[in-house]
Amino acid sequence: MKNNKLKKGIRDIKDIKLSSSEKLNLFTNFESYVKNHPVLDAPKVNIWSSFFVHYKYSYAISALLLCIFVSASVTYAAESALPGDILYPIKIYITEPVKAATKVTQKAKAKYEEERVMIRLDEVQELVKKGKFEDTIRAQVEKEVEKSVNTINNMEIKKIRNKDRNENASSTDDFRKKLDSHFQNIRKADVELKLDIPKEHDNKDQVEKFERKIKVQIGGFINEDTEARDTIDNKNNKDNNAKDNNRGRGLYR
Amino acid sequence: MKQQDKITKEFTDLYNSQTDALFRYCFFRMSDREQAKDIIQEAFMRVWDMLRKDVEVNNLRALLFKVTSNLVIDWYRKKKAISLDSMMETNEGDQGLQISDESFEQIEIQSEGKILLTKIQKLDSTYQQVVYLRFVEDLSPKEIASIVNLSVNVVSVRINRGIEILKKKYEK
Repeated sequence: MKNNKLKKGIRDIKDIKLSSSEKLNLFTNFESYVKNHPVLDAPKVNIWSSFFVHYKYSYAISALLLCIFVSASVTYAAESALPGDILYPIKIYITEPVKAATKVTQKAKAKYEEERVMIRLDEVQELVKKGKFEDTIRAQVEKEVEKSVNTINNMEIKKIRNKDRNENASSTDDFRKKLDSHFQNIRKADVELKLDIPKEHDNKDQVEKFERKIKVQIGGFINEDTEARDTIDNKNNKDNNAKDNNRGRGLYR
Repeated sequence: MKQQDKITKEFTDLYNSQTDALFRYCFFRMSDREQAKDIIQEAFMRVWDMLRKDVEVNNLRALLFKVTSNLVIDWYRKKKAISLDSMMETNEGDQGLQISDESFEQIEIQSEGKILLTKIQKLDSTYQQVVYLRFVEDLSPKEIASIVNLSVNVVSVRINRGIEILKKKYEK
């Protein structure tokens, strides 16, 4: 009963309305107002402001694109960095490892590590030219070369080399030739520098020390390779009861 | 032209569906029929201005009531020179219903409607508007919250308490 009264009360209130004439009068006023105040043309927004206004994740995407752009710029700048430069760590700890990760086969990986060694030597050459090949930098480069050499050794390169001796022999020979060529250039740069500047400002025998150290590192790697080849030869000779054609024919003895 | 047509249609639909509800809302807060008509005319024009300028509007009905409520407050300020501070102190900006015997002379209303309005007006001023909008005009708590500038939770609590008190008044 009481609920009915409430409902009735609500209905009665809702029956309170403007009269038809009042509504018409109001509507006429609105029509006139609308005619005098038409819809404005859509503002010409450029695609970027529209993107930011309407797209929920626009700021996140923009931030991501900015990060990618900045990263790409820094990576590009790091390519030419030398030991001692601010961007050099990006080159050796980020850019080069990423490139190494893209090499699929063990052979390709090994080849890339050899390239990294050559890159280190090119960097040394540049530093020598500038007279900046100091003790600490030399130690840093030697460490990086050692890493590359160890990486090659740790891979199953021996297994691969043993499978195709002829190919391995020629690739090792190429590597040696490239090394020699790089060291030649470094020595040349060192000599030229010594001619230009006083002795106390030159590279202070850093080049000689460096070459000795690197050749020991690389030599060790090449010698191991030779030993592995000898072992396989011996095995093959035993199996086939054939003459040993390659014993004693190491490349770097 | 299509945009104009779309917005005009939207506006026309709004006018047709909400004019009476808006008039009632205005009238019960002002007790002045002519002033109520002026207020709703102004409210519709302001909403039209927003629509034509492509202002994004989530709920047109709530916006219309909100604009109307603000215009009613402005009217009171001019008429009675009530300071903003005192308004904020008493009702957090709310103005309760203003219904008197003179009000009923300006409208045609059946007896039960009159009784209900009288009982709503006897509620605490914090309940009057929210109960009226919810109970009579069927606005949602979310819409009411945007009109009276309170949170949805507060509005819901006030609606429930107000309706409870109203029902008790009917039981007496």
